[in-house]
Amino acid sequence: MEFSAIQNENFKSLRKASSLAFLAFLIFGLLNIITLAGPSPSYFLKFLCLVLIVSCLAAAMAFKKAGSNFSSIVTTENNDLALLTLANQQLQKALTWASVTVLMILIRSAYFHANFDFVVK
Amino acid sequence: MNSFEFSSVDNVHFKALSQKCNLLAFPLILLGIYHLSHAVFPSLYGNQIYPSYFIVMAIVDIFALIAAYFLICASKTYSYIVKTQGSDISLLIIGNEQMRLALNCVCITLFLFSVRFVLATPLWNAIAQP
Repeated sequence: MEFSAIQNENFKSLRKASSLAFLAFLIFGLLNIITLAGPSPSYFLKFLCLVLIVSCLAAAMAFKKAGSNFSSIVTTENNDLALLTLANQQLQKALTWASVTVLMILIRSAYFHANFDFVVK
Repeated sequence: MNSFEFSSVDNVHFKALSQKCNLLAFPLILLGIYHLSHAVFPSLYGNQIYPSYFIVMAIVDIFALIAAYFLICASKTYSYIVKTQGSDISLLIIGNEQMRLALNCVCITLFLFSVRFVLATPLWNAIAQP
């Protein structure tokens, strides 16, 4: 099965969104490594930060793989359905890791706000 | 192509993708509401909020909630692929478009979180080394 040109455009735009998500998760994960490396008010925050970094990087990698699968759907012929299944699976992984990331951000914010006076100028 | 129907194996994948969309939407809604309550009612938490923090966090919350909305829409569309018959490709295109918008909003949210992180780092160090 081969998708039409209009459908390929749709997959192309989804590939761009996946690549952007890869960049966003990668930058956020790398920025959090600074927190992990530097001094921290508590070990629990360090642990949360570690989980956050792992989930961020895993989500970034899954988004990158999903993006390359979407790209392959556009470039290759006669194998679109199998590639769509692969992209689908990678997107599922990416969304799962992304939800872990968001959950960690939420827990970290709640813990930080509950234990420290959080003032940013 | 309009009357194309995905196989039962493909439908299983779309059902799982629909569930994963909801899985990400739920913490995004929680995060949006939590931070919005912090930004709008700082006195409830006894914290002092400065304008730069308020602006960044308000934009983060709005984009997190918009991303959650699009993820729920995408989830519904992907589940329609499983439930309905005959219009799977057009539903897939609509679902992909909603997913694209959701991912873009998630990206903006994360980029703004990175900005907030840079704003907060000197404070973090000040707490750690009083």
